[in-house]
Amino acid sequence: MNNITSGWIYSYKIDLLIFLIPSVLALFISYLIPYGLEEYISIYIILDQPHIYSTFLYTYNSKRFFIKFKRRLLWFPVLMFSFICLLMFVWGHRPVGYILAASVLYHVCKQQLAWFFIASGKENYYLNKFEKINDKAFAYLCVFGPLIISMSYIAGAKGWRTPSDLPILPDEVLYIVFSSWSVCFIIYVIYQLVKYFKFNFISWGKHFHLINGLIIWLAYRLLLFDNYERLVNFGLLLMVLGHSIPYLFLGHKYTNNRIRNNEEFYIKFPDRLPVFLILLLVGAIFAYLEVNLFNYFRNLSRVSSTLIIAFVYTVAFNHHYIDRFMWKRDTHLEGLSFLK
Amino acid sequence: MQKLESKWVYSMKTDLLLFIIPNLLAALTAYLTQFGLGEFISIYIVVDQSHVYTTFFFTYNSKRFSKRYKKQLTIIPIVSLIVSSGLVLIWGFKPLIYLLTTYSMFHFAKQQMSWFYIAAAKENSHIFKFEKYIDKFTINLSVLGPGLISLTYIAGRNGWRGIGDMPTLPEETILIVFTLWCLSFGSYILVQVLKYMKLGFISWGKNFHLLNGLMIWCLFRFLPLEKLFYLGGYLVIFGHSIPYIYLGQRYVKNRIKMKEEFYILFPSKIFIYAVLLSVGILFSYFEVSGYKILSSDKTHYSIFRILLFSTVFTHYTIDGFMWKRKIHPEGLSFLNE
Repeated sequence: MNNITSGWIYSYKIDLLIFLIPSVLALFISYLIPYGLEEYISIYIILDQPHIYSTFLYTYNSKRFFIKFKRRLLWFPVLMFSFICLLMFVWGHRPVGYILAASVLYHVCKQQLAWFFIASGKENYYLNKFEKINDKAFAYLCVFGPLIISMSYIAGAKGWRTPSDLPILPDEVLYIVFSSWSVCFIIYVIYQLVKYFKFNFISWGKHFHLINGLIIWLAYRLLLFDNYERLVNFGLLLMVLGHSIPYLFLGHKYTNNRIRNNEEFYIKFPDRLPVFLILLLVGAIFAYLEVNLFNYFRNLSRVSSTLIIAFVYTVAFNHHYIDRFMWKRDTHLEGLSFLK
Repeated sequence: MQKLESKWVYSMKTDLLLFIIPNLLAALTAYLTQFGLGEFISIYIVVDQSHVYTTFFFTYNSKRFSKRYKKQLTIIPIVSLIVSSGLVLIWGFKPLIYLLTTYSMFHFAKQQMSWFYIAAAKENSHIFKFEKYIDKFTINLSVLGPGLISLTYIAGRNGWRGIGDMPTLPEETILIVFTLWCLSFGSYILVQVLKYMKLGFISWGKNFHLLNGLMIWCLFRFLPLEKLFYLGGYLVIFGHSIPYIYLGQRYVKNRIKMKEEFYILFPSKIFIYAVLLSVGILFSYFEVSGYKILSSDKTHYSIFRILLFSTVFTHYTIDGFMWKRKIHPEGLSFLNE
């Protein structure tokens, strides 16, 4: 029992840095927004889009990965692009926007949960089997809970990008989620107290990622002061930056580890700086196109604008899809050693 | 390729009989409902509740099963009871009803799809790998599709038992589901035509269960008129319960043949059906005619409802694993004719 150490994703210092920086940055940017920052260019897109493109650098760009998952990597974008074009030509933009909303939410929530699961997986110390089950239920309720509640009328029935692009749930989900959350929370605290009194042990890593996830999702989904622009933007920025920045760092660690293991990449990156610069540049270009050239796109012919939008959506869906299997332990030759 | 033959859940005759009888019964009952049948006793409950209790005969009553899954069989009802009581005590019945409706829809849809999957797995003939995905998409969209569409405002935002007891989906769901259904159904037909032209083979079993599922769920979720509305409700209830009771009867018979010990042995089918129907009638009497007596005492009424809900949750949860292939020593041989 003396060998138990609290599990972090990387290490105590790196985790705090990687996950607190986005929160501080979100606070800072949301403070600056009323001074015209958002009007100039959408800060969300600049910071959010680079992490999407980084997925393709680790997958399509890796010889091993590309060969192993060739069929999926080629078929998915082709099918998705065709399906989006079909939907848009027949029914317009809205149905695709709704699928995107559901897909984005699921993707972002799952990533948020992954940090907690990695930390607890590395700690791998449970008093009994039930603790593991309760941990899982509690983590899900901390992240998905605020999201589910926010979809009820009682909490404003918020959508993702537009007010009704997500399902509206019966108000009673608030009671169900809150009751389940309270029960799991009490059990979680009891387990932690027993661990502390019995073994003088605190799961710092797990607690940190749990509380971080809970704060982000509470702030993002339940800050309802719609007339208080700064708070709404703060919630959104927390979620976007808390998703993208740790993802970019993870990708960087992953690529480094793969190169060390002699994995071949079609395009080799000399070091971190050019990669980040390229990614930010691509993000900035897309943000510029999405925000400032919106009206220009609108005035294009229906076919051209549909094809451009379908392309952008396909890129996002492809990122969500690849992300579902690319981080799995059995996808990699030597497991998830890049997390060490 | 010469031996290719269409497969059914049991056999062509049994399947047609077993899945068409509930539909005819539903039509007859729906017709009779207007003459007061619905008011006298809720026919849904008589037929529907019986199948819930059968699950316990196959599980708690089996020496092997109850020993192997002792932990699950003990924890599931206790947790169901604690969750149900806790929710009702703090927040009242509405949240519990919402949980029940969501779980019900999932449970009913899963069972409906499983008939198709059993027939498809027994047939086990795919002309190319992608066909399996098409099958999966088509049956999911044919059963869950009407369910999803019915949750939009455009299709009436039907709940399960009451309006508004399920999520409300954006209206665009209808466009997404319909487009996906058209694509997968079109592909499904294309594959069947190809099979027929190439091998002279028709998947009668699969096609029957697909169309039966699609018809039941379309009628159940979209029929607006009162008489027709009952028809939809009866279709889904009878189409769920009657094949389930038959499946259970085959299962027990097969287990006994395999020398599995049951604590209570049943002399004949008629006896089991009589017991089940009596329990169903008893509960439906309590729920419908005894409603006034029970509701005069709020505590007794609440306890009764909580017990009933916990029983249903237990049935759903046990059903989630009891039919899996690996659960049974010799697989799913009770499905063979």
